[in-house]
Parts: sequence; structure tokens; C-alpha cells
Amino acid sequence: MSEPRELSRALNLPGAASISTGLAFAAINFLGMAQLLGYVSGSLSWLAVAAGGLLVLLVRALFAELNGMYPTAAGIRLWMSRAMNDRLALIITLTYMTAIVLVIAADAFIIGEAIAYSLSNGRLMAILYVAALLVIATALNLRGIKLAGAAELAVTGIVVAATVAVGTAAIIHHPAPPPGPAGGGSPVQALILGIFFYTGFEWVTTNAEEVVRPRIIPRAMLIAVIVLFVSQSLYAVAMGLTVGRAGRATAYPQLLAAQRALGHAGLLVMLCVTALTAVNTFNGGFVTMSRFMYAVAREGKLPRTLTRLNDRAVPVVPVWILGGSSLVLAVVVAVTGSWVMVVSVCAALEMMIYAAAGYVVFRLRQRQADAQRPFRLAGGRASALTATVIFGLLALVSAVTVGTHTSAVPLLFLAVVAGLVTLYVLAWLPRLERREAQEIAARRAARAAARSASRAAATPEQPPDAG
Amino acid sequence: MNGQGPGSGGRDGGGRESVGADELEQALREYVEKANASPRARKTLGTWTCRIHVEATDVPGARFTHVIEQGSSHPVSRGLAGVPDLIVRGHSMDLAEIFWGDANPASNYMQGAITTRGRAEDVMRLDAMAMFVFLGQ
Repeated sequence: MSEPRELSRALNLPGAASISTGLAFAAINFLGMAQLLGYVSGSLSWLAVAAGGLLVLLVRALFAELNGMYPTAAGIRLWMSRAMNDRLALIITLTYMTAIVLVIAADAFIIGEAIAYSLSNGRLMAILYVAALLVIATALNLRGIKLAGAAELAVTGIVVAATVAVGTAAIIHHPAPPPGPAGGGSPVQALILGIFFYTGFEWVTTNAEEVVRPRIIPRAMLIAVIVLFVSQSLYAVAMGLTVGRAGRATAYPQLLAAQRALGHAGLLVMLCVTALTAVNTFNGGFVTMSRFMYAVAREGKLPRTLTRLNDRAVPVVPVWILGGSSLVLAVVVAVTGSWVMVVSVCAALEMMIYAAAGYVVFRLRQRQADAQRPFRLAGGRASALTATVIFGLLALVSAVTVGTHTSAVPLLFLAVVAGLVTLYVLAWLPRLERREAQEIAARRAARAAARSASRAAATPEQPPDAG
Repeated sequence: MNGQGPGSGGRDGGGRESVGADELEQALREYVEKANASPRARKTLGTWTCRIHVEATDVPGARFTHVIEQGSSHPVSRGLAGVPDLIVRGHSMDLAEIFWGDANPASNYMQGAITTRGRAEDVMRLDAMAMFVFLGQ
């Protein structure tokens, strides 16, 4: 069977690179920068981003190999279930999906806070802005409105260009630098935050079916890593040179950095940038998560009510769940001021999935040694195992760290989520699977009977033997 | 490939039962008729236009073009015509079972039994069509 020469709406390299970059460049990254500056001084913060980038290149190689083997939007389900028990694969996948809800909630919260700061409003107004943003995002998704390729490319381009421009201007025109980090952290925590700026870039692998040439996805991820390194390290340095400890403890340190360097105009530019990052986050997050929930429900692994579509072919219930849970989380974060913990939980979930990807490559190199691999991780099983150990440890450190303090709260939160998911998978899912199997068996039996009847009717009657 | 005739069934190289091109075409035609007869499918997919190439990986000549325009399916044609928006590939039995309603397309897709090329939105709508046809949702 020959490969398709073309598709009418194929994704090209710039489009894939913008998706990869846009998914990673969330507003929560700015809070990550502020936290990073608690460990390293502004002028050296780029080193943490660079070190994170080097480890992320290993992640890129893992995902390139897996995506080459399973170039499908269902990739994560597929490659995990090939390497481990399907129940365990489902538990890890569904727990990981929490990260998307958290990032959407965090972005909505950050934008709400940023708007409130710009307009000199209080916390209550910020919560109202958060609610309004999420209601609008949910409504747009229910109407099936999403950014098309060219618009996505433009939004990501503006976000990156404006961040680099404001960051560069702040480095050139910064006032007297504020005091350095308070200390109390460790290089490991700085490294985790350095990696955090890139997380989500691998979600572009869910677009693998939209490209004609398989090499586009790994190249897009590489471009995204480079673009993210430049933009994130520049702005981290700029923030370190312009914003003091008190400013870094707010939910809008990126606005303060721009304001200190460029005045009110700078603040407005970064407000727009913050809002635009959410366009990508909401666009990618809502669409990816709701469609994934629909597909898993259609597969019979989640309740069937999640497959209900509206007249615009949008899975209504997943979008409502996503909008509602993001709103609740965002309000909880706003009221408790626990955004630093959100960074820790998201980082822990991402490190966990990177460790899982390493383990899957390690297992599949043995289980499917002869499978076709358009891209191969250099160093084979040893590299995969090393990645598993490194990211497993980093996940653990992330889960017990909030800011510069040791805290078990992120670990407890993750344990509760994973526990609920496990309870569902072990206790409720078998019922769904039994029902699905019974329905398919009934349809098969009915169809087999119909086929037999139609074949019997089509066979001419045998004449009786002569003599 | 097993080298069998394009219209006949049989077994592929791995010993799995294949569905002949004629029978697969018939299954696809019946599926399209059911989709056109489903008011829910036509309403929900009313804005959907998509040219789909369906290819069985084990039966030579089992290639079809299915065009959906504003939610209504045109008659299925043999061979691959035009530039597709979506390509669906799989073993003839996996494809036939989907068109017969014996298998869940999402399940086959998530387990890698069928592969697609094209936008995820088109894949989802194609799956939704099967859901409306066979589950009456």
C-alpha cells in the first residue's frame, strides 16, 4: 500500500512548530520564572533554562521514537497499553490529564489577576474576570469555534516576538537590580523549573496524523525547544533584573517586569501577551482534552454520557466538565493564593509522564524489537532507562516542593487524584466493559445470522441427483 | 498481501479471514445508506464536508472513495479519487466490522487496528457517524 502523496489539509512544519511552541508557552510559565528566581539570580537564570532544555531534548527523542511507531492522536493510549498492563496505562493517562485542567485553571487565574492589576481592581473582581474568561472559553468550544492553523501560527508568533522584545528592552533599560534570591532551594528544583518551561511541547504528537511527512513532528519539537529556550531565558533574566522578591510573589510578575522597564505601555503589551497565551492554552487544552475524553468513552473506558454530541459535533459533557472543573480550581487557587502549588503539581505530572515515556521506550525496545522505528533514541535501552530514573526522581522532588519549601501537599493532591482514578478503573470500568462486550456480541450475532441468511438465499438450490 | 482476487474473501498471510473487495464495497454502501437515512447524523454532521479514502491493507483493489458533503454521503465509488481530507486504512475484516456495526471504530482506532491520516476533527466526525447509525444516539 503506497503512502499518500498529499492530504487536502496537511499540517506543515511552521504550523506544527507553532502548535508545539504555543502549547508549552502558557501564562503559568511566568510564575515558573518568578519561582526560578528564588533559586538563582536573574543574570544566571538562563543557565537553568538551558539545562532544562538539554534534558527536554532527551524527552523529544523519546516522543519522536514513540510517535514514529504510533503516529496517531491516540498515541499515548496506544504506546502505553503496548508496554504495560492496560489498566495501569489508563490510570496513568487519566491522572496525567489533570495537568491540562490545572494549566487551563492556572492560565485563567493569571489572566484574571493580570487584568485586575492593570485596572486597579481587587481580588473579587479578579475572580469575576476568571469566571468570565472560562465561561467564554466554554461557550466558544461548545459552538465548535477554534483557532485555525494560520491564526494559531500568528498568535504564537506574536506571543514569542513580544516576549523577546519586552524581555530584551527590560534587560537593556532595567533600573537598579533588586536583591538576589533568598536561597533555601536547590539546583534540582531550579532544574525542574527549567524543564517546566518546555512542558506541553510534546502534545504536538497528537497531530501526527495531519502531517504527510513523518519527520515534521520531531523537527517541530526541536524548533519549539529552541524558540522556548530563547524566549523563556530572556524573560527570566529580564524579570530577575527588574522585579524584587515581593513582586515575584504576585500572580503577575511578567507585568511588573514590563512596567518597570517600559512603563504603562510595557504593562499593556505584556497584558496582551498573557491573554494571548491563554488563547493557545484554551484552544489546545479544551479541544485536546474534550476529544480525548470522547474517544476514551467511545472506546468503552469512560461513561457513555461523555460521547453525547451537540448539533455542532462537539462533545458537550467533556467540555462542560472541563469548563466547570477549571472554574472551580481557578477560584480555589484565587481564594487560597496557592498558585505556587499548581506549578509544583503540573511539573510533577509532566515529569511523571516523561518517566513513563522513558519506561515505554525501554520496554518496547525489547517487546517490539523488530518494529519499524523511523526515529530511534540514541543510546537505546540505556538512555531510556536513564530518562525514566531521572524524570522519576524529578517527579518526586516536584511533588514534595512548593516554592522554596518542602511540602507534601502536591503529593497528597496527586495521590488523591490517582486514587480516585484507580478506584474508577478497578471498580467501575469492568461494568462498562462488560456492557460494551455484551452489546458488540449481540450486534455480531445478529449480523452473522443476517449474513448466513443472505448467503443461503443467494446460493442456487442444488438439483436432485439424477438416477 | 495474500494475492487473492480483488473481489473474493479468504485468509491473509497471518491466517486471518479477509473480506473481499466486493463484500467490503457492499458493506460500505449499506453503511452510507444508513448514514443518509439517519436524521441525527445528517443534522449533527450538517456542516461537515469530507473526502475519505478507505483502503484495506490485505486485499488488492479494496480501495474506495467516500465523499460527504454537508453531512450527506455521495454514493461510494471504487478506487481512490481526488485529494483526500482523510485516509482510513486497516485490515479488510476490521473495516468491514465497522461498516457492519460489529465493531466500535473508536475502539479499533485506539487499539491501532485501523490507522488514519487527516485531521482529528474529521476522524471524530467519522466515528460519530457510526455512533449515530448503530447506536441511534
